[in-house]
Amino acid sequence: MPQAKSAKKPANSAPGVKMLITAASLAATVGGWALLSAKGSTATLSPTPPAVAKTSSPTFSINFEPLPTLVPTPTQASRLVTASNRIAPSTNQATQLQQPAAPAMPALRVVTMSDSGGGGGRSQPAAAATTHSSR
Amino acid sequence: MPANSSPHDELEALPPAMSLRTLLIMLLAVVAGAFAAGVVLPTWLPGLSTSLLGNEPKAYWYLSRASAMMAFALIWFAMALGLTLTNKLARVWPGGPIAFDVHQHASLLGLAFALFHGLILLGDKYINFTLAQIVVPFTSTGYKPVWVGLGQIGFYVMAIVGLSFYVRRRIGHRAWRLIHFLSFVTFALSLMHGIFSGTDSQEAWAVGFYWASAASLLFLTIYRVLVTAFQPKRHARNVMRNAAE
Repeated sequence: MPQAKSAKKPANSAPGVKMLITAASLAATVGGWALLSAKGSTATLSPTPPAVAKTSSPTFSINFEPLPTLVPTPTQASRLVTASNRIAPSTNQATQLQQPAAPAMPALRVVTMSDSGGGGGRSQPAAAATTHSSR
Repeated sequence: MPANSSPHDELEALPPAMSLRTLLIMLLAVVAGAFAAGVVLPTWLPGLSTSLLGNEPKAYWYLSRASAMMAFALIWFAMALGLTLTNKLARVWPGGPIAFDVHQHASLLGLAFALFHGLILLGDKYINFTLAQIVVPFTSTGYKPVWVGLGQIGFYVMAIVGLSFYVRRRIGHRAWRLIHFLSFVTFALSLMHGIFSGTDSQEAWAVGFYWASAASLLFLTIYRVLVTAFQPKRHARNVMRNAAE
């Protein structure tokens, strides 16, 4: 009797086909993962995402002048030379040449502020962001 | 799949293609695997996770996309097999019982892949879905919430259709057939979810696959309707012939 039962079952089911479908589905998923990973590594980011640039918050552009370089403090000897020059400027020209140049007055840094809302035609810097399309 | 008015006695006598215990173990394994890959591994072993997946772990996102396509393919395959059962094409090949068995298996496997597709997103830190946003429809706000929500509803409808295999004898053939009509809703929701929220929906192969799957199911459905429309006439003709004899 058990032989009759086992002989009947293969006609109603297809375990091999089901196994094949399951294995193929898993293989295709892993293959898709590998394919997307390989594709994603070669893809580059979008240079100018327009949606992000339009909805970005007001930005401020700050233009700094180059910072003044530090000048070494004058030594005691050079101060003395300067003092003597003031007394007699025409007598010690060679010593005056050795004196380091007077430090220039540091210029004020120019800070400009622009609001994108009321800025009108002012150009905004392009924002860099990752979008879903780049994923 | 929708069936015509005549009951399929030989199909009803068949047991489910996968026992309920096997299905539950499979779904449990999917949940455990997705949680292990998406939550446990990055939390407990961040170094290992990073070393395996690189500085920008996109593996979860890629796995979600790949499993989504596979789930959609399995849904389509199950639908196509179901329609060949009802329009009698399966009798030509591979035979009714085998087609029914594979049809059930494909639909349950598609359910498992769809579950994995959603849960694996827990590991993706870019889209940053919570478990509640994945489980409850229309609660995600970040990424195309309407189309994602439709996909979530499609999953639940598919779960109802798939699990109805196990309660078919209890709820009766008529109720089971009515529930099975929901598989069309599942396919439509999955198709919309894929087209409008899928990252790969702009790719040529994806567009071709969507078109081919929808067109083939439309063809099989129309064929099934025509078979049903002509069958009663033939049946009535046979009855009249028998009565005349």
